[in-house]
Amino acid sequence: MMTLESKMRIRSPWIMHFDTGSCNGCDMEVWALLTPRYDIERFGAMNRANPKQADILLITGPVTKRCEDRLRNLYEQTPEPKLVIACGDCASTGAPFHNCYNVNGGVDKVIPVDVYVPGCACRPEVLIDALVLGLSKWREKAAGADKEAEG
Amino acid sequence: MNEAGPKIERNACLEVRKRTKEMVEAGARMIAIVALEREDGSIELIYSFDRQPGIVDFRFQILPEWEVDSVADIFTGALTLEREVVDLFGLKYKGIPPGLFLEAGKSPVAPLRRRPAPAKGGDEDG
Amino acid sequence: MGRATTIPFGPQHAAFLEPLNVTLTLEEEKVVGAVLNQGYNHRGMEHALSLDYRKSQYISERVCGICSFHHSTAYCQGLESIYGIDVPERGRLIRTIMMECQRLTSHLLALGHIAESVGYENLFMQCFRERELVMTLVNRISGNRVHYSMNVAGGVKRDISPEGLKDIQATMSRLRPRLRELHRVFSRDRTLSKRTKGIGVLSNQAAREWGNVGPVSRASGIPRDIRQDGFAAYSMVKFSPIVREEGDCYARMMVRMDECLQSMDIIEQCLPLIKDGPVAIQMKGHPKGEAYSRVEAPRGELVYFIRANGKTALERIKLRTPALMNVASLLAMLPGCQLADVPTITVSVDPCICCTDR
Repeated sequence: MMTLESKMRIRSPWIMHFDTGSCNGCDMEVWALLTPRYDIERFGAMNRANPKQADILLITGPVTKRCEDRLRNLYEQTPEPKLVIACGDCASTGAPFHNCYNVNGGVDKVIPVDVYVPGCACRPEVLIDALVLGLSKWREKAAGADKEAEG
Repeated sequence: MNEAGPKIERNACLEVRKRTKEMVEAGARMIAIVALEREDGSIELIYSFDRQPGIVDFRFQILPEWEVDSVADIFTGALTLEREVVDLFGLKYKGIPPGLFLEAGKSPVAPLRRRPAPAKGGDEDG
Repeated sequence: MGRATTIPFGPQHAAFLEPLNVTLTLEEEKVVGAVLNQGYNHRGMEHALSLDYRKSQYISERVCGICSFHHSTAYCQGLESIYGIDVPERGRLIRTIMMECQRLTSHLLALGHIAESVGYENLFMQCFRERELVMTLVNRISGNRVHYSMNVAGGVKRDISPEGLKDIQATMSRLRPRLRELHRVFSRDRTLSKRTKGIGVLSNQAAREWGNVGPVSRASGIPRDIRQDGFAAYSMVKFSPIVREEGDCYARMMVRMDECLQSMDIIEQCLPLIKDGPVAIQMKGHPKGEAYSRVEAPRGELVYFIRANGKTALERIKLRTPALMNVASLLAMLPGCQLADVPTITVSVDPCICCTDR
């Protein structure tokens, strides 16, 4: 059984976007997602730049060495249950920046990832799909967390 | 351009200020400082300027231990360019601190020198 | 005079698309000092680009997603000048059209960003709505929205069909009235001009000293546009650089807005010039030699220096991106402004951190 709070949160997941060294291609698509053409506000999702208010982290980029600690920090500040979506090929595997010396090669090297989005750069349509897929995972997580809280 | 490159000269490190000043006074805008490591381990530095109608540059060759004079007080924008060379090649510039791009302790040191720390899982040659 | 406070601005901030950290020293609301911390996006592209010149076209696009076509054009032009070949006219015209399309998307992004930074959400959305017209156009032509992958050393690898050319013309005709409307809003809106006029002034002298390039330098009265050098097909079209004298955020914004209209003019001039013919020529052997290559990216002059020694690995490839010079000059603009204006000023130089840090 989900608590009222979880039920409400899932209707309106707030997202936070953080770039960890991507080429900006996916970031542009994340922004396209927020604007009239794709407009994820129809699903109740809003962009919030504050990790403490966020439910979903949209992470782009292969995680450069300097961003590593910041990313971990942001992840820890986000309240449970949280969802991490790795946007694009470089966030998923680090493939486009395979030969670069200053990258970690994927978000999952630093923080746990729930949904991987392919594409270089990933298209807004796929991001919407990932968000919907993510929400079903999020529902499971929230239900699990609530059960734990009830004892 | 010549194959052997310019001679390795110590006072080139000091002359760089004079030559930059000449360029800037002639109305040129500094574009880039290109550093590259030659076969023998010395570093070639190319200071390139935009002076219409094209690009002009002066180049010199030094040993990596030598300290180069900074030109940031002649051309303010050169500061970032110098910091970049300091970071990526581990050269010493007078009064220029490292740490523009690289995170101390995590990133490889002087990654663009001949034997860079191998990139993670990277195949080094195509 | 209040006590000085230090606040970090970024790396993760609502105003920035990308990680950039500015440490501000404040006296009450006034900024008295600023320190830039960059490098959050440093991946090591110069190393990756030098490994194999045949694969580097792919990687050069990944340096920056907003000006990816300019990056790959600069790289391919560098190789072409090492080989000493001329790209066929049709190939050069296609490159020019794609570069201008990308300039449109980039400038509209920057303009929307400025509008958002002053709290004008509506205009931000409108900019992005018009931008989607161009994004879907390049998607139809190249098959991709962001990285067009159309360039190859020697020309372009994807031709534009006659229907595609008509499509470009039709899209430009649809876009023109919309951009005129945007231009009207940006130039006449009182709130917007109050938040941008006289803010973050970069004098002509300072712009020369900091080596600013692109719209930032043109807004400070430096009439320099690399497109005048006539790379690609720019020698075949007529245009003159857009220059303003004020050097404030408003000037930088309006230079970009005027350049959007200019880009459409250039595209429309290119379309009738396209004649049947090859789009690319083959090159033989490994490159040997050295070349500078410059293009005018949306943010300004983009320089590639390539030295090859007849092997698959390049001896050195150096990128000097426009944002590197422009972001550094923030240090000249920020001191003396109000804290509330900091986002507007930072965004008005169009900081592309993936370009800056590479």
